[in-house]
Amino acid sequence: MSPRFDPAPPPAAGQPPGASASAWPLAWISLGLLWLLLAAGWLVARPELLTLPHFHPAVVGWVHLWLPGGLLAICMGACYQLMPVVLGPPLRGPVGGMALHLALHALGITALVLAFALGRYTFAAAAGIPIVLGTILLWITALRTWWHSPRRDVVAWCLPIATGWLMLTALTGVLLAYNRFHGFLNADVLMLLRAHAHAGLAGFFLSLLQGMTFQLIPMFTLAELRGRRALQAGFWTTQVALPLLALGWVGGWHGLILVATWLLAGGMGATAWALGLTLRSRRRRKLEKPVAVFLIGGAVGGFAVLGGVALVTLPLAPNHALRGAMAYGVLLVPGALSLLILGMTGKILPFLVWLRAYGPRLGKSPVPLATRLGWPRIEALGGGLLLAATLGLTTAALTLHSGLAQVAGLLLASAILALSLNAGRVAWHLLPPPSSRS
Amino acid sequence: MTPPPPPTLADVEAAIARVADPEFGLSIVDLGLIYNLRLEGSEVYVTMTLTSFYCPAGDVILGGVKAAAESVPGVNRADVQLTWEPPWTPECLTPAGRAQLGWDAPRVEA
Repeated sequence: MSPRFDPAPPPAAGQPPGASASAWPLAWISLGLLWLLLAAGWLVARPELLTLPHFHPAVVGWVHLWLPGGLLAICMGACYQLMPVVLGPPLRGPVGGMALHLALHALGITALVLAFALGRYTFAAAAGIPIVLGTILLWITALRTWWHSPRRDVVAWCLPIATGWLMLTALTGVLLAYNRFHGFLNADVLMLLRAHAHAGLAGFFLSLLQGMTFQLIPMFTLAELRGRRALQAGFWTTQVALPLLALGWVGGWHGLILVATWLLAGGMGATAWALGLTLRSRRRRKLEKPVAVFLIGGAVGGFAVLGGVALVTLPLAPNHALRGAMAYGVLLVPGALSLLILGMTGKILPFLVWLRAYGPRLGKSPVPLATRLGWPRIEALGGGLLLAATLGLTTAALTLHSGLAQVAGLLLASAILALSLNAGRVAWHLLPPPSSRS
Repeated sequence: MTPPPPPTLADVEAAIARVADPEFGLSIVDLGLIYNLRLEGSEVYVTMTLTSFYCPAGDVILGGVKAAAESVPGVNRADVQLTWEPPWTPECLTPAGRAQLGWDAPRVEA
């Protein structure tokens, strides 16, 4: 059997890696879930959003509530929790940095979504500034913590790199919003929007997933990290492909866009290969539902990427290209990314709650398992509804069927409601007194 | 009042065996995390490891083992030392642990 992969020197005996306080990560995750609920409600109230072009202000507003609002907030909570665990040293950020970042992000996203919904781009630019400041805080924290860490594998590299991409995404977003009125950027606005969107989607989310998956999946399934070369190839290919893709869009060079897209897709394929090898080595035979939802999200992401490759490669009529772009966005954002992030939240949230509620009692009195704090059936229902909503929304976007969009929107709202109810049940364990909840 | 009977190693083992990993639900004994356990009078000495250098519940589990050992009547102090040598592998799982995970035999890689 090949040796376990762990090139970093271990911590000194008697000094296990520290875990950061769980309160602020929990606050981030709660904020994210709240925003997802609001976004789901918005879609129920206005199902025609899906039939609008993806650059329509209302669609842009909704996407920013769902993605840099809901999903990103959840990722931030996970990042702040996992950074010291993964890298080793305590968080090396400014004092009160997590709380300040939360406040900046909450303020910024709320103002940003309102601005987009009202079509006020100058206001959107101003709203983006606190978001940018928050991402700078996060990047500095990630970079400094990574700098002091002995770990230098992809799992460690993904943190400063992904947060760096996030900072770039926020900065370019502010520039694009100001450009709307001042027109100082000499490039096709739609192409610039694509570059901005993919800096976030692939730069932050994909880079983070290409690293952290190989920390979390082995941890939760008692697997060994396999396919090291494929893992490295996948991650670093993304880092090469993304700037090329952005350059292609900004410069309007279709050949470069084509090459970079195929490169990106190939890199993701390499990551998927490494994940498959890792999963084959697992000792926990039965996959838990949150992990299954996560993996299904990965598969949906694969289909989205194929769709993206097709959009770039095939000669499509403009109206077909527009529908295809909408379907691609739906498959990726409320689809794959939501399944991936909400799936893994189903593991991280109970663990955070368990740490706070029951960790101090371990060995002193009986405590429940972290995996038994919620309602498994409600959680499974939420995952199933989310998948059904993804399929419905994608079909609605392709066919412009408003009735289907409405149904799929209801499914999405139900999914988020179910997952939020389960999250609430898990969080209920935080309420005192602990002895009455075992 | 009669003093409590002196603790036995079996008592301490039983107490520590009740500490379960919060993720897998396996006793840390069945996970194979306990490398050495000594009882010297009223003091317990434990040498143990974790499943991963980056185990997020590491300090909690160590604290739990210490608390469990000290909960045994007659034990005044438990010293829990963490070691990474030898590194934990799934082969450290006991047969009971493997059965609970649905892993009945060493995995054969193609």
